[in-house]
Amino acid sequence: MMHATTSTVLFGLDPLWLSTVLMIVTYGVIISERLNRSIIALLGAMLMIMCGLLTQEQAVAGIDFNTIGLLVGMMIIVSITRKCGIFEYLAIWSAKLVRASPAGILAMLAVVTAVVSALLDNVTTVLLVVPVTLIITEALKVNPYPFLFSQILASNIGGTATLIGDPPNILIGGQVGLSFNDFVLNLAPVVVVILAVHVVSMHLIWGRRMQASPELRARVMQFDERQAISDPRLLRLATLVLALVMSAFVMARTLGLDSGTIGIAGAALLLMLDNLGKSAEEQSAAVVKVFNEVEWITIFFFVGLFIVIAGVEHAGLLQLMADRLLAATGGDFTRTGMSVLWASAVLSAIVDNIPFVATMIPLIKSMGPAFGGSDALLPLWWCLSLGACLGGNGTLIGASANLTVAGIAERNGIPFQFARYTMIAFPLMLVHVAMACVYVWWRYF
Amino acid sequence: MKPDPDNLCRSVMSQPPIVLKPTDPLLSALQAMVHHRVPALPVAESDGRYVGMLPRSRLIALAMPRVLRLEDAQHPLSRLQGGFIQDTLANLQERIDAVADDPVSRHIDPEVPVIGPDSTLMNAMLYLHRQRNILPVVEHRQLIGIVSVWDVLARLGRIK
Repeated sequence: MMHATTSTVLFGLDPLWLSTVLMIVTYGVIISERLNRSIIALLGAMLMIMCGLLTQEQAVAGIDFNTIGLLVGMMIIVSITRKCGIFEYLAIWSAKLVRASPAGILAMLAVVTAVVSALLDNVTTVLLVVPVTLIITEALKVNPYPFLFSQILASNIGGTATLIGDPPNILIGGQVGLSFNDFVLNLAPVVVVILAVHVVSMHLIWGRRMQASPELRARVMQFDERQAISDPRLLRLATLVLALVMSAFVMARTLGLDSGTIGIAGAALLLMLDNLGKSAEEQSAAVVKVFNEVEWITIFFFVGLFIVIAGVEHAGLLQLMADRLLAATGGDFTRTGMSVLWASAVLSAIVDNIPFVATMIPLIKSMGPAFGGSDALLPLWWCLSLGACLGGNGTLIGASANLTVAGIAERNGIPFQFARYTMIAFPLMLVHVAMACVYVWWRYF
Repeated sequence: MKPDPDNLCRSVMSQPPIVLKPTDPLLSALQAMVHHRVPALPVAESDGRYVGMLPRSRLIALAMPRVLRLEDAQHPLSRLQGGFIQDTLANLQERIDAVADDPVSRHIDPEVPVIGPDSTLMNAMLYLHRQRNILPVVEHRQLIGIVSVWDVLARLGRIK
């Protein structure tokens, strides 16, 4: 879609080339990690405007509120909810359910991590579950590494199942207009199977050889999970709001609500309930604290990225790339789907998957006419989501949850090296993506 | 105008009851701290070169599960409420036993601010106000004394 703005491009340069160069440089610096990703995304975005590739209005139109609203809303809800201790409670409760046997805990914590990840973002999930895990493994005197390794994979697998579980899904759902139900109905079935395979493989690699004496297990059995609930009133409020938000997601179509609206509305409601009856000063202190916990790096990164992509889209680059991709796959739908799945898996394992997914979305959209309308594209969205989310498990830098766990581990004196992780995780990731491949092929192609 | 010497740390400085050596075992440092009832002890080489401070909060932290004692500035989320853990005194003792023979140099707190004898008194007051109980006074890398809350309070209360 060429635009009228092209005539005002700096020095009369070709907008297609200029925007391509800007995008490549932006992505290059993001991948090199020399500069915080939010800074470089914003710089790239503003250069798109200053070079005359976009007007400010077009740039703002490129920022998808559905994505930003959902992200900010969920971050606010999570930052309030996590304080009540419910997730620690769940982790301890699940460990006691298996009589504190190390192999049982290895499996249980993977399942808990996956379920929580499906409802919260992955980084928050591991930040909540990993500290409890370290307490438990210390008490049992077992090696914590397998537990942490397993939780990284479980968090990325679980996050794949829902609209709100993983940033690529938030992006896809927000920009394509797919609902919470669409994600659950199309992705959860295969995610459950992949999670089961993950739990079994963790047991075969580590779990079956793990042991702890009855005395040490008794120590974990004495943990009082009720003590983990730090604020029962907050727990009730947060459970209520989370239940409302989830029901709104499920009934989004009937209610005629977009996910961004639901996220922000839930956040505003929880903020209100949490601050009722407080003095004006206490309220502003509490609200500032919550807003400070919103991950602004991620938000500004998305804002910048959306504008950069709007720039290349206006200049016609994405249409060009889509045509090339179609030509390469001979316009074959199955081949296109498989390419999207595997390319996103491998790329997501080695670079940040957000820029990739954000670029792929308009690119896939522009293939609509070739495959008979936007509804026909649905399977491609599932391929993109499964590839990008599951691929993140491949290496330690594949997803931010991986680095978060590695960071906590290192600070606790548990070595967590890139090579050691990748040697086991990459093959497992390939197995998971192969399962996803069989699933989409069987169901959609 | 010449500075009034009374507005300098020199005017309230005192000598610590004991100075630890970097190689002293942690357990003996703990015992000395309990014996003298001080909130922290300075660590210096035998030639007087300042190494760091060992605060009692470190010893309390060492008796707890490691993940609880990490102050993770990057991720406030990972700060865990550990009230559900039912550790006994014996469990805490086990953790201290494991580090009893460590040299104290391994456990000094790198965050403790250092003041000079000619730093202003107000400078020290601000640190003491921000929950530092004892400040090492260092000149030319030599530990020459301490300023503790007791030194200041004793003067304020006109206690000789």
